Formats: sequence, C-alpha cells, structure tokens
Amino acid sequence: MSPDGFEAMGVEVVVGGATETELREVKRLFERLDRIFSRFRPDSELSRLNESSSGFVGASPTFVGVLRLALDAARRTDGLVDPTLGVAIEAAGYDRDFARLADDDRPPEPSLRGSWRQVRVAGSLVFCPPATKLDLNGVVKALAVDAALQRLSGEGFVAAGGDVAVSGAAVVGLPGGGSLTLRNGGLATSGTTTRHWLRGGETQHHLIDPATGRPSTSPWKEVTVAAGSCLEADIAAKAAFLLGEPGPDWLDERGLPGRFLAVDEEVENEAWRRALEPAQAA
Amino acid sequence: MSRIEAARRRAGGVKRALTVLAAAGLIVTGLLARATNPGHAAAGTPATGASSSVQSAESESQGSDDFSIAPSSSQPQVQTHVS
Repeated sequence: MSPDGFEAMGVEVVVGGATETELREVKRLFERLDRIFSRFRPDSELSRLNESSSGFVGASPTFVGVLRLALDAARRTDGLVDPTLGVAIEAAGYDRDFARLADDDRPPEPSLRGSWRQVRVAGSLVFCPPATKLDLNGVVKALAVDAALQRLSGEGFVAAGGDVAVSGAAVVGLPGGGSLTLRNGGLATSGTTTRHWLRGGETQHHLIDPATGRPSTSPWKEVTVAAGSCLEADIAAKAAFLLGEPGPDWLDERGLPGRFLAVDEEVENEAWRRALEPAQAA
Repeated sequence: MSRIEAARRRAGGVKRALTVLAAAGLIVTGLLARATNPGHAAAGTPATGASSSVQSAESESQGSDDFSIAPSSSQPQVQTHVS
C-alpha cells in the first residue's frame, strides 16, 4: 500500500489504499469542505456567517449537518469542545493560515467565552448570538478524514495532521516516537507542540479554554486518543487535553485509550496500558 | 358620528390588531420552541431541506464498534502529527 499525499486545510493529507479515482474523489472532498468551512477564505460559507450582523443566516445542508455534529460534540463534552470560539482564537492572534502566522508584539485582543448553548439550528436556518464567530476547523478536518476513508473501496487509511482513520489495520507512527497498530478506527493527537506563537511576549496556542476564552493552561503538551472514528478520537483528545489532570480518568470512563505527554512525564490511561501491555512486557 | 364613537371604533381596531399580533406571536414562538432547543433542533423535528445532509454528515462520522490498538514494532505505514 503505497500512500499518496496532497496539501489541504493547511496540512498534508496522506491516503493509503486508494485507487486513482478514489484519490481524486478524496481530494475533491477536502477541497469542497475547505471552501465551505475555512476561517481564512473570505468567501467561505463560514466566513459569511461569521460576518453576518443579523445573527440569522440560511446555511447549506452540509454546513448545517457539520454544525449539528459540532454542537453534539459540545453537548457530549459539557462544552469543552465548543464551536463558538472563533473570536477567542482570533484574539489570541490565530487570524490567518498557520504557515503565515508570525510572532506579534501586540497583546492579545479582548476575547469571548464559548456560547454554544445559544446557537440555534432550525431547518436550514442558523442563529448565532451577536459578535459570536464559529470555528469548526477541528470537527471538519476529522470528519473529512472519516468521510475520505469511506470513499475507499478496500482497506486503507487517511491521515491529515494529527488525525488518522484506518479501515483494516495499519501501523501508525505516533508524534514524538513510537508506533502502534490501529484497526478499524481513528486516532487523533491534540496538543500545543506544533501550533504555538508569541503574542505580546506570551506564548499562545489554538486549544482555547471555553470558560476563559483564552489558550488553555492544561498541564499536557499532547494528548493522543484512539476511538471508533477519527471524529470521536479528535473530540475526545481535545476534551481530555482541556480537562487537564482528570483527562486520563475521563477517557477511561468512556472506554477510550489515551496517552498524555506533559513537559516531564508521560501518562497512559488504563485502557491504553491494557491494549499495549504485551509489547511493553516483551 | 360623535367623537366618542369614533374614538371607540379606533380603540376597537387597535384591540383587534393587537389580538391578531399576539396570536401570530404565539404561533411563531410555539413553532420556534418546537423547532429548536439550545444548540439543537428538537428530536424528531425534520430538518427541512437539510435532512439528507445531516444524515450524510452523521453517517460519514459513524464509528466502528470493533476498533482496537495493539503493539507494533514494525515500521509505521503512516506517520501522524499534532493537531
């Protein structure tokens, strides 16, 4: 299975096991979702909604479907994974494609906390509270990986940045070293080791604490989670990161294996240890 | 028509208009309450014009019940990074 790759959504997408036709379809899928959901394209549907002054906007079926998934993620994580943190992430300085982001002497802008409970969806109508901006990037990328995998007729994998989904089995390299075999599921790593920058002399990153509207002060640098889909793994990894110290137990309560890297320690929850013990013993 | 009678007619017109407005407001409020709750459309409420996409987005994210991770000492087929 020789993988193919292309750039989309600001990351390299790697596909293994696709025919040429399937690969083209996967590329189109990523490009289409990026056109709809990019924060950095002024003509994207997301940008139009975020710039709307009325709060009420008619949205496409795809937009509504993804927004519902994002709101469901917020509900299932008690608001930790909140799609209404667009203002907060811009306030931290992440207002352009990460490749074009530079350190900035100006202090962070005033921020807004999460307000996902005030978002309303009725049919194709979406209502967001005034001044709120949606950021659906995390959900969209993970969903794109899952959806792309479904475009493959046989076994294979699709990876984009910290997200990977596998049909059948594949050996997956983990950030920071090590590997594991992932079978019929998804794996996601959320963290601050790659995407961080300086604003007003302070380190900023993209994992926003919805309670403060500021970059999280979680003790973790990276959290890796495996689950039945990439979307599920991505949501759980972000939530476990933002939860801080209770993160490992929170994952165990949901039966999800997770590995947590801090500055000076590595913590694996029980589900992770149970799954990988044979290798460690060998 | 006396001035008092004209005033009564005007008041009656205003009252009827207010009644119609109140009824319309109630209907709209009821429809919105049925169609929405915080962050979600109500369960069982058809998402007009969007149902196929909602089902599509949800089906695209369907997870596998039999996912697993296992140890490996082989060379990775795919390297993941940090999001």
